[in-house]
Amino acid sequence: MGHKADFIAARKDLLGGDTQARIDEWVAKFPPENKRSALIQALLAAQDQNGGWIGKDLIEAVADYLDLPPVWAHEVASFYSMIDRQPVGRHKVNICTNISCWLNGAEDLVEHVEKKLGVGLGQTTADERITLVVEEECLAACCGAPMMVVDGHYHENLDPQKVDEILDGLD
Amino acid sequence: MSTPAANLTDTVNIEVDGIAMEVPKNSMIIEATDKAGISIPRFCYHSKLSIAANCRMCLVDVEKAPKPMPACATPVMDGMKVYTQSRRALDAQHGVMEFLLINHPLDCPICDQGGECELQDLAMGYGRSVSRFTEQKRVTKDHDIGPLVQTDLTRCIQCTRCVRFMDEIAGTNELGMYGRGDRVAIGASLEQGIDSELSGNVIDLCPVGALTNKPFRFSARAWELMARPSLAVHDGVGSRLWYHNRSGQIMRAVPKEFEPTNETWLSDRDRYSHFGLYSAERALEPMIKVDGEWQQVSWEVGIRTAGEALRATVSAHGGDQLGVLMSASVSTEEYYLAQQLARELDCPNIDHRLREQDFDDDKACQRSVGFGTSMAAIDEADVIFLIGSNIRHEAPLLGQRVRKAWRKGARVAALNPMDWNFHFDLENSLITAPQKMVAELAAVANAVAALVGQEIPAGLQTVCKTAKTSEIHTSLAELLNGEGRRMLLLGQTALAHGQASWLRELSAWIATATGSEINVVSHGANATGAAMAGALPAKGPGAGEVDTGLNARDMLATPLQGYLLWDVEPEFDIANPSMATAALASAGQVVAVSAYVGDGLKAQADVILPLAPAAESEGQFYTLDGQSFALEPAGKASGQAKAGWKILRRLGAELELNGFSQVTLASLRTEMLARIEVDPKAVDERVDLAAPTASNGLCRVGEVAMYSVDAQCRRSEFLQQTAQAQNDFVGLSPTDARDLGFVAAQSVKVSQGGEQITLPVRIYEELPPGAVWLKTAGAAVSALGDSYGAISVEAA
Repeated sequence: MGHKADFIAARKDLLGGDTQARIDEWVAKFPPENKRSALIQALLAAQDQNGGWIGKDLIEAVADYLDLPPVWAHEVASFYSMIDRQPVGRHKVNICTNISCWLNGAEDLVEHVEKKLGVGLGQTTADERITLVVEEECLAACCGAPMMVVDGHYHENLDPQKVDEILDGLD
Repeated sequence: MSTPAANLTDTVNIEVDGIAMEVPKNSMIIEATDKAGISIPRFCYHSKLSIAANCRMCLVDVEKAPKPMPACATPVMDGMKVYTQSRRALDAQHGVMEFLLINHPLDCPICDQGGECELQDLAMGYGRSVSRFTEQKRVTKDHDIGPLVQTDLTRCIQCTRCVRFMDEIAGTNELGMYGRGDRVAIGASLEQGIDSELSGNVIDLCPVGALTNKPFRFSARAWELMARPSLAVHDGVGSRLWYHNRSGQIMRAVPKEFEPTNETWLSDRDRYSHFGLYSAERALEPMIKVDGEWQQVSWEVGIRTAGEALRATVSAHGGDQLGVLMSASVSTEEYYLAQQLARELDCPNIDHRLREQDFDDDKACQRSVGFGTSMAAIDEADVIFLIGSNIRHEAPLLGQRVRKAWRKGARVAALNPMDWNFHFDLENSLITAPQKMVAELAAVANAVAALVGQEIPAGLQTVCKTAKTSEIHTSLAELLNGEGRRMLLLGQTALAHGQASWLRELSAWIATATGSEINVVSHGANATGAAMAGALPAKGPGAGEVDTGLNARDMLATPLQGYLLWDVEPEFDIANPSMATAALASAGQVVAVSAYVGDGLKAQADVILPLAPAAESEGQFYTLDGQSFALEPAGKASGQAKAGWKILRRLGAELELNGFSQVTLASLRTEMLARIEVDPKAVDERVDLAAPTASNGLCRVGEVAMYSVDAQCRRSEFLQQTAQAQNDFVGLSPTDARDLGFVAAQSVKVSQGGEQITLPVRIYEELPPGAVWLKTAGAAVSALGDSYGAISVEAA
């Protein structure tokens, strides 16, 4: 059971109606005393509302909305790599460099993309179009290595031409 | 007790290192080995916290298990064979240690934990002398988490003891593990740090130097310190502690494990108050006022002057023109000798209940003192009803016990003038302004009467017959009359309340009618001892009959000719500071015996004798539940300060009074104990109380600010830097703020008894209409009146 943290009171108003509805949907999937279980999805909903990233205020808004200690929300938000706590571009591009992709030339792909976009991993292009995500772990598509994830969609068996095509197609 | 048959099923037989043992079913291997004295290295395991099993240091070899198992998280099974010293166990432990040290900076020479560090100790046994790790180590940025706890997170080994403590024991969930993998770090969400009243315990729990004592650090090394057992004297819990001194100077406090009082914890107030010992305002020499100027004098002159002042008052105006006001936190010997001194001088006026203002039930006062149960019994309660109590601030470790009971399923209810931010949930809460609390409790009494089919005594009818009983009172009555162990906790707000006698009498009746137990959380550290020794106007030692004198309030309401102030700062320690200041100003003689010389005493007193505070003194203390502790000096007394009993003995001898011939503390104590440790007579005497005067308008909720309870706390600069000590504001309910047209942070004039101060407004949903939250014992409010009394607030 969490502790009432006065300083986050009323922060839940930062969450839009759609976001709150999406959180409610997830809360309903767990036993009522286990609202904590809905934290990941609630944070993702808040992140979507905010253009792909979530700051301190919004993280605490989620805690306030779920009636949880703010620390619990911060812990989850800082743990998962799909939750960004810094501003990001309109699109998130995550090239896998774990072992299967690496053996199949992922390093060259990263170099190609960095050169093409003019930014390194973890950075966002000046026009705020694309953020090159730092990869945390294997993205679980070794059969299609090398691969990358663009805004949640998997693209497999890549080569520089294919990557160019995909990236050029992003607005 | 369980029967032998039950034993067969409740325990299992295991063998550790060839030693057979019978241990409780479902317990962990480490619990069995700890009990048997077999040492297993560990960092994350702590018997009072949940099991995390994340440090892996306690890996042991279990027969038939395919790999080493963590002893802290492996339940025992019948026939299990555990080897803690086998090659496999030791290899595993060495391996874990090597990994733990990979990212540890090994900066022991500049680490404050050096010499008392669990990691350092175990690295001696399990670490390699040369590291095989040549890569770069992780570095973590530190956070400022407040004035009490220092972080050096690069040293953290992620055991999460501090996080679990804050979640489970302190209940404030203020720390967490941020990030992941090798970048994980302890963090706090609140930018100004951590707020818990128990935060210092994370220092003891931290097995490395990641969390250290901020005010103490870099001031001494562990091996330079002498540990002396002592007692915390800021609440009646009687927490045992060790004062660590170097050449007589107390450098820090750490808890001493003692289950019946503090378990293994210490509140921040008890841990950091000793920094007030060496304040520049310590009374170091006897002082007398000559023509308005303070002069330092010898003890002989000081005692003679004090004796003459008391004698002069008594011989010129009679003994009843002298008032003896004592703090509730000095030793029992001091109370015993002080009442002896007063009564030998024909002065019946002696009291230690300075923060209280209503004594109408004094005839039955034995009922209102102390605990009916042990403090540890709170843990076992099924229902707890808090009456006028912010238990977290009054006695942090009792608050912790209420939380513990609540975590085990106890249902907690409260009748309070404010919805204080507790670390437990209230099942049933009556939040009402102070002036309506008696009526609410009377309504509960009515509901109880209806439920149990008993008549409310005639003496209580005046209030009960007009009290409106609604559903909430009935459900509370059902709770109190229900199953299990039920307990009423009467707190310091109830005691300091303007109609405290009503709250006490009604609670006592409710407890009797429902078969609940009743516990009173008195002010101070030794109210129990004071009552036993007879530092009361209506009772002598051992509750003996005495001539009835004036209580603490009456001594000041009508000023007397002379006062003896014992460990009292009149502008901070008395329920109505403006009344106290006025009374003292008009008195002919004021003798003060005090460990500190503040502005108030300087202005009011004629003689000040330097008193050694508890940490430097000796004497017997009694906890709220009557456990005794014989305190001995833990540090050298500053300046000329002397133990209170010695001062009183010399004063008594100077005045040539009877009963002051004791030469040693032992002989005094033997004499005292024979007179005070008697079984209290059963009290069934009911007093008829005058009907409380109804008051409309605003009433002050003047709880004592947690870190201002006594002179020593008020002078601990580190406690005073905490967020908890920032109390210069006046709190209003949203309704009252709207009606008065105030917005948050606006400056307003607050007045009581003709005195006026200006403070910023804060608006609290937690306050009911009619209540004005303005804590007492702070400098800003020292001119104001009753802590629980009428107050007015207007635009500045």
